[in-house]
Amino acid sequence: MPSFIYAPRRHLLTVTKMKRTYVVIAAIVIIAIIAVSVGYYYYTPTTAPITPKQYPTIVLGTTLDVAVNLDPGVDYNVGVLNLNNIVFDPLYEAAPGIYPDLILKPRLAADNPVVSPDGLHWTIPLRQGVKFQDGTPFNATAVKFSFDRLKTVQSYSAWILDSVDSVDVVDTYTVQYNLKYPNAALEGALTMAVAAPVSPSAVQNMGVQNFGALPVGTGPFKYVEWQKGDHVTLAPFEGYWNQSRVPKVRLVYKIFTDSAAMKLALEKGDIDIAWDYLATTDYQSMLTNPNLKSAIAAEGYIVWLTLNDGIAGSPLENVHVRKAIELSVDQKEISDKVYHGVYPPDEDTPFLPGFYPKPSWNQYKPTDPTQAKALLTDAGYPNGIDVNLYFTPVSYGKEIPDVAALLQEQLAKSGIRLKLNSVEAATFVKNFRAGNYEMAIGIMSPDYPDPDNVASFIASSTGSYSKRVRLNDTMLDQLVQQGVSTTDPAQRAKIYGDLQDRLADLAVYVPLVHQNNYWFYRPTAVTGVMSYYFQYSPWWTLDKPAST
Amino acid sequence: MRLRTFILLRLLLTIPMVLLLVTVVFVIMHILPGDPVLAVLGSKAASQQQIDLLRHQLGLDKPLYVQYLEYIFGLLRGDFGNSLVRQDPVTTEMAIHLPATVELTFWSMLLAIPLGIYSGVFAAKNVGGKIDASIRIGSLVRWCIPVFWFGLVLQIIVVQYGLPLPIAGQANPRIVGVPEVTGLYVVDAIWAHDPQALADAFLHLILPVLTLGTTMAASLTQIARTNVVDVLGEEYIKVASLKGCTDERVFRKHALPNAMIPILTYTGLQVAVLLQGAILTETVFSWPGLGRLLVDAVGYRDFNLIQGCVVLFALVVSLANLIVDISYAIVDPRVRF
Repeated sequence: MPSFIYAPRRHLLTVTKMKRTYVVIAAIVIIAIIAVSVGYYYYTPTTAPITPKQYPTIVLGTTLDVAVNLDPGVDYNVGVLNLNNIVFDPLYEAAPGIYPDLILKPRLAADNPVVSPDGLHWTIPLRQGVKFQDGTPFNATAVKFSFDRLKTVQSYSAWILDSVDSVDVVDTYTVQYNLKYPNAALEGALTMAVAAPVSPSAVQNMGVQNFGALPVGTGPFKYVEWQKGDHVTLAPFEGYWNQSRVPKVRLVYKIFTDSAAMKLALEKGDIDIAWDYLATTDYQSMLTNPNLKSAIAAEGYIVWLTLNDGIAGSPLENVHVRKAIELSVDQKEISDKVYHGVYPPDEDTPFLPGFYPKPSWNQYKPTDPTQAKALLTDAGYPNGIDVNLYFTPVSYGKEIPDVAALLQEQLAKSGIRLKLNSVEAATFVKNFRAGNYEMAIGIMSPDYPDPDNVASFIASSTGSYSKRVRLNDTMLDQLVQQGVSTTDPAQRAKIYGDLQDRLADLAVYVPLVHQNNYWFYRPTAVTGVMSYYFQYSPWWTLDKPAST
Repeated sequence: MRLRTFILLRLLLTIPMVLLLVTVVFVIMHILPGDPVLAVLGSKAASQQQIDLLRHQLGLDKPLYVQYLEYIFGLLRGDFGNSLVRQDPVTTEMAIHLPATVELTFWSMLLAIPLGIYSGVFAAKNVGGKIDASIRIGSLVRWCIPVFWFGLVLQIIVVQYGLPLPIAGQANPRIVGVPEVTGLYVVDAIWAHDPQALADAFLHLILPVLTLGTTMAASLTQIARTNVVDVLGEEYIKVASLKGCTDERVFRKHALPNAMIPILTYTGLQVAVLLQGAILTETVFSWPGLGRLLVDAVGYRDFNLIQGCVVLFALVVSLANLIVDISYAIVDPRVRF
């Protein structure tokens, strides 16, 4: 490159370069300031002035983001289920505090269902004078429309109404559900927002995709805004049919990606309620914080150990080995050491209170390594056994790896040598569902209040939990079938009792702890935080304390 | 080569680069275990029938090469496909989350560039002294602290000392929404004549921008210092001093402009680092930007969304590099196209 090309220019540059840098920076700043001021003073907003805040705002922080959208028939995420339980009215609902007795009562239905003798036709009277949030009247046609929509829309949660073949309009305020097979659990399934009526005119006007962005129901709250990844805003529906449940506040469902930040935001006062499966160490400091209170929903999830009885060649094929493992587990120690006592030990039946739990369920005997060793010797393993334990480190709680390590220690005392396998979530779920793991740590939670919702999943040979342990038992299949086709409570209690006894004999599930659901809140900022049932909360009870 | 030809060539070169990148991401995503269908349906409820149905609906039951070719041909038409989980177009999803990231990175750069370059130059000016040592150590320490940890510490400090700063999110949900025009909260607040919302938007920016901006500033400081020190040792600096220039004049007119050239390159390359830092910053501060969208998409194995984000990031980085190359021609007269 000939030198004359750059030499003079370089001289020029050296003289002006620094000046130019400063000039450029100064120019940017000045232009920015001028632009801002001009924009601010001369631009007339085309939008109408914002209406004054009519309701105080309660901010609920959560790490449960909207997975797909807000459509009750599409998104089956716990967070959205909870929101849709207040934006939509299911036909029935569980009475708050269903435990220990399970009581279902009508919400949008006017009365209990009338079931035909063959159990195949359910006639349900509907509440009159109810309107959807967009003004559309609620009637039998809307119920039929909603059911048909659920079956045609890309709905993954439609399985809860698998037993229903069709819905007929009997008259303006009566519908008839026609079933494929008798299903005593239908009333329980109808408590879910998935099955709740949606506004037919809103669906038709908005189209599926837009309806999913801000769906319209009959519930006490209505969706106002969904800022993707940030928050969902709900406002009271003033025309709600049940005056005692018209909300007194605006509710903002604020999404956090980091539960530690959410905890800080609650302590600081940026949010009023925090709802999440935080690390139990965080729970502890929050439980002892004098400025915070908590509402607990017991029986949220069960963390359990699954013992696969169907892998050929695995020592776990032998029921004595499975019982030996059961005897070696010390639930109390797991609760104390790993969960700091925040999640209580679970030595009960997987059938929750209200689900006809068998009181005499005594499968989970006190920890007894000596007897466990004896059982192993009986089974032909005097020198102990080697078993692979699989778990996934994040999805089921941050403590799971510690649970695995403690189990390894506990089981070693009986000569059961665990090899720990930490598996990435997606792979874990895939293999777990396929029943490829001889021993794994999983969780179990009910969807709706009916014992069949547990039985058909964990005991029936076609249940998705049963498949994880390759459970295939004729007696259990029969009992599940009987339970779901019987409506008499006394008979059902007997059937589910027998079913639990059979499950205890097979020893494929070892519950470890109850993963309770906590809502932490600042009592100075919000009142009326309470648990409802499962992971649900009746947010319409929220209010600002009188003093503020 | 004319400048126009150069730009055209560079732009053409981004096409094979993006294709290669998409291919790599596609292969990685399909080799890695995990299934978007199971991620959507959850582990509990779905029957095999539902799983198969959804897999078919999403086109995931087709042979891999068919999926790949369909995706590539879609890309050539500017079609990024639909998000597997959210079901709407990937471009829509990205458009929703882009403004938040633009806002975060813009203010971070605005903090990082002057801060980094100035402190680097300041250290070089006092080379060997106490100021130099403290700036060097300070920036080195800051550079070594992971973004997410630094962010968390800032949050804890704010809470501990009761500072009136928000610790997460992009806006206070208690303030009734400013109508969205651009999606950039600061701009929208000005647009809506809402000083309260404007103040709120700036307050929400402080911690994330401090976190991301100082990370970038720390590395810029190091580079700026090294380059200025190097230039100060050059022969022409001695010549300038010998011919009677004052120290200040030597520094300003002879040393700085020459040191600026590599600093400028480095600043351009920092865009990639900035985007990477944005992913972490957005996660710590629950900032609804592209980085978080990408993280969520990876969690759900939403192949199309991941590929869309990666392509967008790649385009931004290559655009930044192109701008650096062009600005070379302006700053350094030896560079000719």
